[in-house]
Order: sequence, then structure tokens, then C-alpha cells
Amino acid sequence: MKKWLSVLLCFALLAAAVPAFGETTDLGYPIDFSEEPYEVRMTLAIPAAAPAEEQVKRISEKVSELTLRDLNMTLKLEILTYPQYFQTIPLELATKEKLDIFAMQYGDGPQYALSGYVVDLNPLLDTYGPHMVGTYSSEATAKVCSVGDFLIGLPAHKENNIQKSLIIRTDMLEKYQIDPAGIKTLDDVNAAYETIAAGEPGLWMVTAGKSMNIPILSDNSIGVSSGACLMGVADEPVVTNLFATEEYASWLHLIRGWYEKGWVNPAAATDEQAVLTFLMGQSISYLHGYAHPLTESEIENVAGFDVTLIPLSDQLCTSASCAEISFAVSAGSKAPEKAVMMLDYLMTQPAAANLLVWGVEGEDYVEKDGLLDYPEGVDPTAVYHFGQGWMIPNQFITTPWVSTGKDVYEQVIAYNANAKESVALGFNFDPAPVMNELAAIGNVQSEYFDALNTGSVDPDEYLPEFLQALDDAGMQTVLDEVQRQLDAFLDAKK
Amino acid sequence: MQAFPNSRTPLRKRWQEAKKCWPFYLMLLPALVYLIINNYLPMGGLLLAFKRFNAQKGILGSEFVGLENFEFLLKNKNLPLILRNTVGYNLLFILVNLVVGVLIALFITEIRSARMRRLYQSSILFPFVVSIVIVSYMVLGFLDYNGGLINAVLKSFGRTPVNWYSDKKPWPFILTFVNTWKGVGYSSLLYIATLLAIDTTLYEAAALDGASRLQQIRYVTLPHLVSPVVTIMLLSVGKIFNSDFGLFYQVPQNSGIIQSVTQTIDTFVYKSIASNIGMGSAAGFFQSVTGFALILFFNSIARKFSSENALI
Repeated sequence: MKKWLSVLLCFALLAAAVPAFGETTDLGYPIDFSEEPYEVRMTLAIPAAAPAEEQVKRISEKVSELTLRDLNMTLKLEILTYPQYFQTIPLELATKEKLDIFAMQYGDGPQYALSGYVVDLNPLLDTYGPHMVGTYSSEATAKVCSVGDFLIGLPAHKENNIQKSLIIRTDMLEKYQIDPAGIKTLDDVNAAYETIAAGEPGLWMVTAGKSMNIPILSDNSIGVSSGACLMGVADEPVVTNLFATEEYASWLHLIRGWYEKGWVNPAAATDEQAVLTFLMGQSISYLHGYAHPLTESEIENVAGFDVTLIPLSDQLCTSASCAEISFAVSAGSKAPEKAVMMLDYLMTQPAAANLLVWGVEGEDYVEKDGLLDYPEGVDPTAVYHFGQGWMIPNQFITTPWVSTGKDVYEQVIAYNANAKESVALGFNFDPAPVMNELAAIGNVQSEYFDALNTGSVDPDEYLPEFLQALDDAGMQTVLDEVQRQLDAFLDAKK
Repeated sequence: MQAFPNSRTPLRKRWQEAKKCWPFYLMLLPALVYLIINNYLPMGGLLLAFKRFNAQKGILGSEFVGLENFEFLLKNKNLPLILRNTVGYNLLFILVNLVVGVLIALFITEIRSARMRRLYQSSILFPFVVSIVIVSYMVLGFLDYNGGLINAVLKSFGRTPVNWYSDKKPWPFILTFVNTWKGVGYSSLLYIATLLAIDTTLYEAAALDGASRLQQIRYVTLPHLVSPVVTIMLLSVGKIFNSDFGLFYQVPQNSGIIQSVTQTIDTFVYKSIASNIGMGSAAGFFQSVTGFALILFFNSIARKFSSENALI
């Protein structure tokens, strides 16, 4: 008996010694602690001002302490503003700069996969990313950002459906005694504006700008922003040209009316940072594309004043909304397996996730009754406060902030479950056959879209021109190709 | 001074002369290396115009697709408009910069005080070094609907303000004005240098023969200017399918509705293809190869008329 016990103990000792020789650690990753620590470079993006560089460096070092211990890797974190991001990331991908993990927009995915900018994650998941798929509600949701079998990226954990909404200043609603529950359609919004505008002649009612949200619900992820879409919460996969629909025409007339009444900022058609107008208090509302439980607090985090979210449509879960932000591994990474392990770690370890979003405990936040808040007497702008949980791999494992409440993540998960799924969920359009038409359509849109969508020009005159130009650019070819691919996808699913 | 070597000097003698000047060639070497690396080696990238670029396969390994990348540009229905804008604006700029440049050079060389002359030369050169992005915001300061200077002046006169960025008509003038304001200082320097080098005894001789001020300019000054003008024009002609991206994208604040008068090949390529390297290279190929062909063509014409002014 004693002999067997000692033999068993020997095996146990050997098994414990094995991690140092390259087997998996207790977290489940195959790490070789004898080699040099690998530096993983991760880039995130943020719409408005990014945290200061020293702050980001401080957080990188703190996270690196954890990852060095668990993964034998350090993290070099980079947070870029959207304009910086759009300028540098495509270039870095094309020149295969040493970039490991980066946040990717849904629309860029297929082109990046086509151009060989990103690594296929599917083969790496079993060994290096064993926990990630389990954090999603289903494997389908986890792998929605794919082209065929090529897994381009893993989506960030957040609200996964779109819902058209209005963000309006709470003080305006209270001053004119407008009940937000009574506003359900654009006509109600119009009536609300009438009341408020009468009393506030110096303010703009709504902020418009370049690439503004169109308050018409549709799944336009199937058409890579060409305008080809499935209207509303469609049951039938009928590909339509959004710009040719009646709803779009009546929306254009509505915003044109608002523009002529002076309710819209006049320079909207050339304004790229239009939301600033709202944040600076020159306008009282703007149209948004999301209406999930965290929206209000995210905006209030940036605005500094109270806002009210008013939903204007149903919820729709599309491929794009599921994978709006996903995390991909660049082809320029020197060690994609290590990058995948880091991503897996960040997606499953609460300590690291909290560091990314809220900062260092004691310095940037304190915990009270399971919620987080700024420390006493600390200036919010002087500490690290990324605050955008939707931009990190998994915000659901972090501790909620005091303004959102304890069960907010459960609310988001419930909100997600409530959404209707688009019939095209999981479908990713391959743009290769219609590249020329898409380029021409992009050019036509750059001429007319902003001018029409902000009410700056008369739709009676310009909408027919716009539609004609789209047809000349080959819109019907694109619609047919999208329909063809979508039908093939749906047939294969059956 | 020994006679300069020319095309009739025997090769051996030319080589001996060259060997005597070896310090100069040595000084030239760094610049030559830079020129080769910066200007000649990248020409290999012209290959990209014919390939579907895949970052993992690299330039040589990517798939060859023939003329496919050129289709988005050459088959686009707006191509005549885009070419009209690109070439038209360039011709307009060349002409206006020529006239204004020569005029400025004439005025500046009239100034007697050398110190004041240098002051004026430096100040007209200043806009050239200002970034075009800053210039676009200076223009915004004039043309903005709410806060712009011009609308403020119009309002004070009781007239309705104009939405400048939505109106197509003034833009050819605005763009020419900004381009000349920014660039004329640079080209006029060459004219000023030429004018200052003219032998003053020629003017005295002309005055003695009874020539008026205007006649002196016409018969003495302008012939000397033929050389730098032809040089500058030949160089500009090579870029006739290119455009200053900052001027045509930033200054109009990327306003879509005036696109038909501000769109050039460069802004079209930028706006219509996000990250397709092959298509962008095809457009660049088109611009540079046609520009090169044009320079050779116009250079041969220039050689027929005045061979010493031709570039090659």
C-alpha cells in the first residue's frame, strides 16, 4: 500500500513540475516560462478624447504585472481616437507592423480577410483560446464574424442588437413637461421639438452631421454600406435599396423641414464631429443607433449632464450589430498563438478587465457595496477612466460603475435575448465580384448622402438625382449579387 | 579656363576630366543614394497596380489580375468629369501662377533697397510652408456659415448669408485663389533670380535707343524669362493628372454636394476605395505614367523651338 502511495505521489510531483516544461498552466494555456516574455501590442479605439498617454502606460504596466505572472507576456496597450485609428490601422495592417490584437469594425472584416491582413482564429482556438467561445451565448454568436470557415475576429461582449433612438437632454424634457414615454415615433419627436423650440429660440433641436444615423430600422450589414439592406425586422429575405424606399423619402422631407425651421445646425453637411455640438450644449438632442441599458450612462460619462434615451424602433440583431466591434489578430503579429492566449485571458479574467476599463483600484476608483466610483476628492479628468465597456473583450466580467447599478450586465444580457434576429444573421457578403460598382456607389454617396441626410438640400430636387446616380453606378448589379449570395447562404443553412 | 567637354570630346578625355573632379562626385554620392532609394526603388511598386494585394503573400506573391484594378477608375461614368476637373484646374493654376508670378517678380525687382526686397521675398514665401490643413481652417474662418468673416460682413450690410460649402459656383475661384496665394511665392523666386541676373547695361542700351518702360520690359526682361518659364511649365505638365490632395479635400471641408467642381482623381480614389491597395496603385500608375509620357512629348516640342530650354 505504502509503495503504491509513494508511486502515486511521484507521478503527482512530476505532473506538477510539467508546467515549467511547456504543458498547460492551471489557467489552461500552454506557456513556456523559460523563454523571454512576449510583448503583446493591443490597440483599442474610442470615439471622443482618449485617456492621456501616461495613464495608458500606467495601466499597461499594471496589466503586464498580471500577465507576466500568468502568461509570461507583457501588454502594450494603445488607445486611439476614431480619426487616428482610421488613419493608422489600415496602414499598419498593410505593412505588417508588429501589431498583435486590434479592435476591428464589422464592415472591414471581409476585406481584411481577403487581403490577408488578419489571421484565421479557428485553428488556434482549441489550444490557445479554450475559454473564449464559452463566454458567448452560442457558438454561432461567437463566430458570427467569419467568411466561410475563416474566423476573422471575436466580438466584444456588449449589446448585440441595434435599436433606433433619440438622445435628448433631460433638463429640456423636464422644463417643458414632456413625458418621454409619450414619444414613440418621429412624429412625436416633431411635436416635442415644436414645444421646445418655441421656448428656446437660440438652441438647435437636433444635431446632424456626416454619417449621421438614419432613424429607419434595417439590416444593412448585408450590403457593406452600399444601401442594400433588409428593411425593418424582415421575415422575408428581400434585398432592397434603402435609399429608394418611401420611408427614406419621408425621413428626408422631415429633416428638411427641421433644417428650414432652423432646428438643425447649418454646417451639418461638413461637420465630422457633430456630437460635440450636443456635448457643448448648442443643441438638445441627436439621433442614435442603440438603446441598450448601458447607453445612457455611457453618454453621461462623456457629457457630464443627464440625458434621456427614447427608443424609436424595435430591436434587431444583425451580423453587424453582433460583431460591430470584434478583436482580430493582425497578420503582422510575430506570435499569433500568444496573441490569442492574451485575448482569451483578457476575456475571462476579471482583474485584467477591470484594469482596462476602470483603472487601478484605490487610484482611479474605489469599491463600495459591489459598485465602483471615483475616490473621494479626485478629479475625474485626472485619473484613468476608459469607461467604454463595449470596447474591451468582455465587460460583463467587470464590476459595474455606480451610475449603472449592480445588475446592469444581467439587464444587457436580457436585452440581447429580447431582440429579434435578422434572417441574415451569420451572413457575410463577399464584395469581390462587385468591387467596381461599390467604389462607384461610394463616390455617389459621398456626393449626396450627407447633404440629403442632414436636410441641407431640398430632397425634391436632389433625391431623384441621387437615385439616378446610384443606378448609373450599378446599384441593381449590387442588389442582385447580394440577393444571390444571401439566397445561397440561406439554402445552405437549411 | 579649359573648354567644357561636349558630345564631340573623345571618351578617354572625358573620363580623365571626370577623375579630376572626384571630390564633387563624392559629395554627390549621399544625395544620389537617397534619390535611388526614395525615387527609383519604389518604382517596383508599380507592379501592385496589376495585382490583388494580399499582405500575407507580399507584393511578388500576390495574385496577378491584369488590368482589373484599372476598371473602377476607367469605367466610371464620372471619369470625364473627374479628368476635366483635374486637368482643367491644373491648366488654370499653371496659367494664373505664371502671370501672377511674373508680375510679382517684376514688382519685387523694382525695389531699390536690397533689405526690403529680401523682406518681401521671405513674406511671399511664407504661405508656401504653411500646412494645407491649417490653410483649410483659415478658409473656414472666412467661409463658415455662422462664424465666418464673409457672412458676418454680408449680414452687417443686410444681405442674406451664403452657405459657401453648399454652393458650387464660387469654388473654382476659391481654389485658384488659395492655390496661387500658397504657391506663387515659390515659383516667383526663380523668376526673381533670373531678373536680378539680367545685365543692367541692356536696359541702358534700350533706353538710349528710345524704348519706353513697357517696351523695355517687353524686349529685355521677358525674353530672359522664357527659360525659367519653360522649365517650370515642363515640370508642371508632368503632374497634370495629379492634384494637391489637401487643396481639393481639406479646403472644401470634404463637402459632398460641391463634389462635381472639386473632385479630382486623388480625392476620387481616396473617397471610393477604403483599403484596396491594388486599385489605389492602379490610379497612381495611371497618373504617373501619363504624366511621364506628357513630359517626354512636350519636351520634344520644346527642343524643336529652343533646345537649350528643354529639360532633356
